[in-house]
Amino acid sequence: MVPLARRMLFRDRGRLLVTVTGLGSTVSLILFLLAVYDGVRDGTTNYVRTAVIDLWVCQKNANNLIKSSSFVPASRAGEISGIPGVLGAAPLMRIITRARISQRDTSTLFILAFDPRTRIGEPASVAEGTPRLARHEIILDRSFAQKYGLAIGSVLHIQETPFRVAGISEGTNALLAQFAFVRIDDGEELLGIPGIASFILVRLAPGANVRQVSDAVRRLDDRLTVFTRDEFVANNLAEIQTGVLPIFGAIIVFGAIVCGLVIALMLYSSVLERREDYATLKALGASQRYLLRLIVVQSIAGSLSGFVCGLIVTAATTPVLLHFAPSVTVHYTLPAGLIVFAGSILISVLGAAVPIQLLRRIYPAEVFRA
Amino acid sequence: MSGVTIAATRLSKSYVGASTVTAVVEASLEIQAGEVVLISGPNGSGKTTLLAMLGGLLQPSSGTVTLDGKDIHALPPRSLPAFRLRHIGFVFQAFRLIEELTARENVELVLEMAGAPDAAHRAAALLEEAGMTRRADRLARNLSSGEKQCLAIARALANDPAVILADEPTGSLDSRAGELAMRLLGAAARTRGKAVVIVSHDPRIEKHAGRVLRMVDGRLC
Repeated sequence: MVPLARRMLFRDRGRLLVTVTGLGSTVSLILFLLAVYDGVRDGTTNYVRTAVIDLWVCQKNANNLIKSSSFVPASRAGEISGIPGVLGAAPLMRIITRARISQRDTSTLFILAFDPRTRIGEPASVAEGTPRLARHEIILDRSFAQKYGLAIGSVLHIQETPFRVAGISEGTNALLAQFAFVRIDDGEELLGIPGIASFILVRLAPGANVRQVSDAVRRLDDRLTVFTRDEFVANNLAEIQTGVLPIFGAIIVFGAIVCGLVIALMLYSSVLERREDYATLKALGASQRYLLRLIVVQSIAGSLSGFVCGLIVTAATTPVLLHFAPSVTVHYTLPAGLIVFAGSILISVLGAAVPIQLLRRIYPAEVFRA
Repeated sequence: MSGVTIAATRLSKSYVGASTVTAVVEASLEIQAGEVVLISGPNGSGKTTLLAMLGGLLQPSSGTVTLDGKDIHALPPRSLPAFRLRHIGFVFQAFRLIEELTARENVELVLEMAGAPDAAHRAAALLEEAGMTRRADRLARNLSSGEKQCLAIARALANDPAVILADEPTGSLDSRAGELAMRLLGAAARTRGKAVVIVSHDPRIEKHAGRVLRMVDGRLC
């Protein structure tokens, strides 16, 4: 097979290099955004997914941990504990606040205050230290701790109260804020209003009927609503998707358009420059299909080179980016990589449309031009 | 090697614009297999336009071109390239080789486009006939003008077409290289039975032609 497409592509190496670098940078941006999105998705739902909680009881119309306000009487936990099929119930308080470190305000923390007695709501993703907190101890998200140079034993102040870092958790970074965990009594102290919780967390006995327990909770107080863990995870995901996904999606779409335009521009100028060669091929008898394939192969080859360049750029730049932005958690996943790969192929085929239009306007009789 | 291979009947071409320019006026000719016909005439006389119409590269305003009994301009536009590929070989003044391909690849390319089996062997044989074996793996851009034209002739013969159309084949060559190119075209007619049509105003070509037609102001004399 005569490697005509490859030779045409490599004829102007400078242009190819600029094109591949441009595509690579855009692919890298898209991969990075998808990784950030996956990181946010995981960071937002990891606690709900991994903490040993079967049911989330919220104020009616509240349905997620991130962006809905829920206030329930903490005393309901005791009443719910008495429902047949319930192994235990405990209040969880959510406080959105900032901490102070050496007279400097930190970024926002989502503080979840759980009951240390029942340990319901205790985070399952503590990578360092302990989840068993004493008074005025706190578990911080790893990226938050890294961002502010905190480690086990460090002290930070929340509303003038000193908290000692007792644990570091992972998968608790929701990008705009990071989760932290304290005891419920410390939470009450911070909130300053006793007897109030954000949620009641329920653990069920083995074999318990979820529907019956949920109905019993609602009968107890019709201002309450109950979600299973899977439902609550889905609610949180939906919240992220409606909040973050459109922004990321728009950037990714623009990135894809840029990729398509870069490919189209490269091939358009290539066809324009090689107009006589294409006219010659037409004169000699190349079919339209052969010429289309010639363009599309160049387009796909350019795009795949850009994809590979993007992988290299991503591998090289991610550690640097994370060094300067430690609060960002990235999860590179194979499905995301495959989506970008497939997108690259699709974009390259679409990008070939413009030079193909130019190709149609090249007449074989142009070979006679001196 | 007898019988009409390609024939033009009252072939005309006019360009309609602010003023209508007629490039070729009712040109008729018949060319036999194995014949070398030179169409000579001054610049602007319509030689190249006639050649383009004979090769199916330009639609005539009126008249027909038949090749082996088929009216090539009556073929559906989609099948005309494939017809050209198999039945007509072209040689151009500016060679029109793909510069980034080697000599061998330039010949193989047209064989592959036609789906010919054994393209590599056939290309090697054609290059040998053209005296290009030692240059087979050189990029076309690194060949001399004479070598480029020999290669272009080898490429024109690749799919064993019935007709070779050559536009000023010696126009960019010195006399020695021009002589060699003409010998190759003459051999194509004599030994392969090709109908060779050459348009040129180079008087050196006349001795290689079996017949010379003059073209003046778009008319064949």
